[in-house]
Amino acid sequence: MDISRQTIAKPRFLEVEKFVESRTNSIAQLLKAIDNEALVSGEVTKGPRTAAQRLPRHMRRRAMAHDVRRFPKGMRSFASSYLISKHRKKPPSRFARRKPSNILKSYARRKMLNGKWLETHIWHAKRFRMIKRWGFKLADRSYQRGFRAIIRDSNKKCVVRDRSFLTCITISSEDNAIILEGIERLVSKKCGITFNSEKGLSGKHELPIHIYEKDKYPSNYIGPARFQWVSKNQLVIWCHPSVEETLINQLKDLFGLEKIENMEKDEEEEENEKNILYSSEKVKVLVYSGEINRFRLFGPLSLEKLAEAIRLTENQEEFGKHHEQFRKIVNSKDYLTRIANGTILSIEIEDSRTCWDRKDRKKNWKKERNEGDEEEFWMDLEQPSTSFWNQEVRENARDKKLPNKDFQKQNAEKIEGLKRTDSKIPILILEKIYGSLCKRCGVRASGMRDDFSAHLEARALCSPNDDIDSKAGKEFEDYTRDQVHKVWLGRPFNRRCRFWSALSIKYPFTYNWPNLCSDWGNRDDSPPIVCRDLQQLAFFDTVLRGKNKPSENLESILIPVKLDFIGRGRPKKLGIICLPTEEDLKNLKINRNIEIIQESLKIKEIGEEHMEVEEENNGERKLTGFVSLEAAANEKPISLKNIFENDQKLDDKNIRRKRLNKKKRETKKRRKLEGEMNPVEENEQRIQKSMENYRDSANRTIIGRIVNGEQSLLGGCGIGLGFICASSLEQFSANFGKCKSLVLVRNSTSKYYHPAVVSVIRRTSQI
Amino acid sequence: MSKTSRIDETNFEINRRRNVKPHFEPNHIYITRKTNIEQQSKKAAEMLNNSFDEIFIHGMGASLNKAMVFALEVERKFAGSVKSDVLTSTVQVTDEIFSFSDEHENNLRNRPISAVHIHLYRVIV
Repeated sequence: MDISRQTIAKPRFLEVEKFVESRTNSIAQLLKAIDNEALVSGEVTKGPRTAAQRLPRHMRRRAMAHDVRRFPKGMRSFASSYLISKHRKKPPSRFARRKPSNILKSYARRKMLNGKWLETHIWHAKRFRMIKRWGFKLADRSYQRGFRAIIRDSNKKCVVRDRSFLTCITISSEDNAIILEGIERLVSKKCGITFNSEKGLSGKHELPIHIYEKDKYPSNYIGPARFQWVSKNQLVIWCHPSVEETLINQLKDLFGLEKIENMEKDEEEEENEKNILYSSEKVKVLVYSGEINRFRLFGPLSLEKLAEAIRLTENQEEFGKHHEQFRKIVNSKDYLTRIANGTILSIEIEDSRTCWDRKDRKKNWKKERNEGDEEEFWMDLEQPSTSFWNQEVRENARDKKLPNKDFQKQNAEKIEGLKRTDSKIPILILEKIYGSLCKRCGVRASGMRDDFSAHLEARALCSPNDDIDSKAGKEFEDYTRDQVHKVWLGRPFNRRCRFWSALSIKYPFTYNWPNLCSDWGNRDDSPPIVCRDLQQLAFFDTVLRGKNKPSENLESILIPVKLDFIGRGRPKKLGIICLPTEEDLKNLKINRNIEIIQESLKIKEIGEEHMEVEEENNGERKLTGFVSLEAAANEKPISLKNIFENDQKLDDKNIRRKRLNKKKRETKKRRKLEGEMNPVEENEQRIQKSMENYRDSANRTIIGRIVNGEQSLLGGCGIGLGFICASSLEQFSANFGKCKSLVLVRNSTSKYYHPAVVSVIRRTSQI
Repeated sequence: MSKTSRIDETNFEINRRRNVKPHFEPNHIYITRKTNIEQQSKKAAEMLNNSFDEIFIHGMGASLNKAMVFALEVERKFAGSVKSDVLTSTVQVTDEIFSFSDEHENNLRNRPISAVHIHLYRVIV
């Protein structure tokens, strides 16, 4: 067998040209490394080298990479660039960081990253938890834990809230009719006042309004707004930032507007204030964001506290009459009952620092009772001045403001302190009596959470969170859904609430209004509509009080309702509103706190077996007082290990460790087991869930959901706000006594139903 | 809108504004329809015994009768050591007339209501 390899013929000679040609790349690399002039002779290194590596070996010293002085003098400037460490630098000292110029720089950087700041941001950020909402950083809740105090003060004294995040839009045109013609298409007469109302056109009031998309009432709701006719040709609309974009798109569509980029401003100013101008041939729309501050003072002492905090100017020409009127109103004892809602008072004030240290604040505003013959005064107040809306005046006030240093210097020179400065600030005061800068006057500041709870205490819907049919409301719903779901997922799964199997809640994280409405007879695919027609709301109110019978064709309508709990119960967001059965009503008349329970799905199946086991145990009960005669019966086995002390400690440790390990193993095993079983169970549940109707998913018929609820601090009982389907009215109107309608409410995490009296919210949401 | 004209409830809603209290001192007691006379008279007696020499009781409209009954009750409790002066007056209250549609204007309406102010004071016997 021939196992020899085949001989390979070796070349007799080398073709140099070909050989070199095929290796040109490698040769070029080699030459580059060797013939490098930058290299020290004898060094062959490819990668980047430090300065020390460029020195010949005999010149290298220890710690050269850290200290530039180890290098020869001639090389130091070259070497210093290589000594910068890649590690993060040590932060500048606290002293350096607190330098005013550096603080301002860091503020500018943070503003860019985390949303717009209001003017009061720094004051609030030191005292409040700040959250990012609607593109702003807003104060949420105080760290001073003044929650109850704020509610109390807003009811009896005064509370201040910064509402500067609201967007202000001014619409101006030479002809009043052009604005009116367009903008009237966004509103409906059925929702109350429109832009064309006499009261609005007078310019003395700022009035609430509901805005819909063009000609689409009652669907396609945008949101609530407030408007004021500054002059005949200029309209000011205040709206929430979450609805700003939609509203501006509508205005663009109405007037054919186009955005104008080049505002004559410096770059620095543009960064601070981005006022956007839209314009067409006849109409100009200017959107202010961040330039105009708006504070809201709640409570009966608001005007007094405001008056204490300011000093009026002596501008007799323009503001003489206005100031006289303002003094008269503040001094009258009963202005709260006399002044109309939404009245605007315009005044001009001095720099607020001029009245910080005054001790005689209260003396200036001494109460005097007005005599009865002043009916005309209250009916015909002065036309507010338009200087507030003049940009020059506002800029003037800002530019002439004394820096703190100069102010303190001038203040110290005068005996009574500085009283007048060049900066005169125009302000508008809006009077709003409804349900229920001044920190130095003892006015409490409050945040967004306090705003929501104050709305709840007043049983009023809070915009935009509770406007469920608007785009902004839906965004909020998604936001809360994600948050609640995240919290639920964050728990270990044996501690998670079993919404479907234990509580029969079909949609624990969302409201799913379209589904509920279709279960109550809405056959169209059209989305549900929240009723804002005032006359219709009044009608529904009479239906719930048993004075009328509900009409037909109400399938797609949702009615805003308030719930007052008559017994126990603390409602929460996402709870369900259900119909009581006749038996429930009978029982509730006898005892308001009777327990009505949602049975879980599992108990229904294995409830009987559970009972049998208990019975068996009962039969084997031992006789009391019986002493056994058997010696073994009283004996107890004692471990030998416990008797010997020395071993005890060791063993205890060992036993404890073993027991812990065993427990760990068991829980791990159990988790693993349950985790494996979960998909199967889930699948079963999913099928069961999809079979079940939303309306009849619980053991009481669902008619609506709760959007906001809590234990009322002022009322001492649970209160809630929610929406119910209008077509369900017939089934429970006036079912409790002659004029009360009772429903059952259950939280999404609870099995107990609680009774609540339901009534219609007749005042729709406002900003 | 004149003071006497009736208001059509299908087009308007009437909201009664809360009246402003003339005094905020703790020895002024305001009697409403919801006040519990028995409990309040205990409080008044405690006030007269411990902290004040005089108290003022105010009642208005439907609670006129109740206020006077309350004053008599307190007087009876003290068996002659407390005397009373009664002053009647008229107060103006405000109704907010809220229109459902744009055709009518929202308005304020003033309406006079009878009131009684009873001054209870301790007598040195």
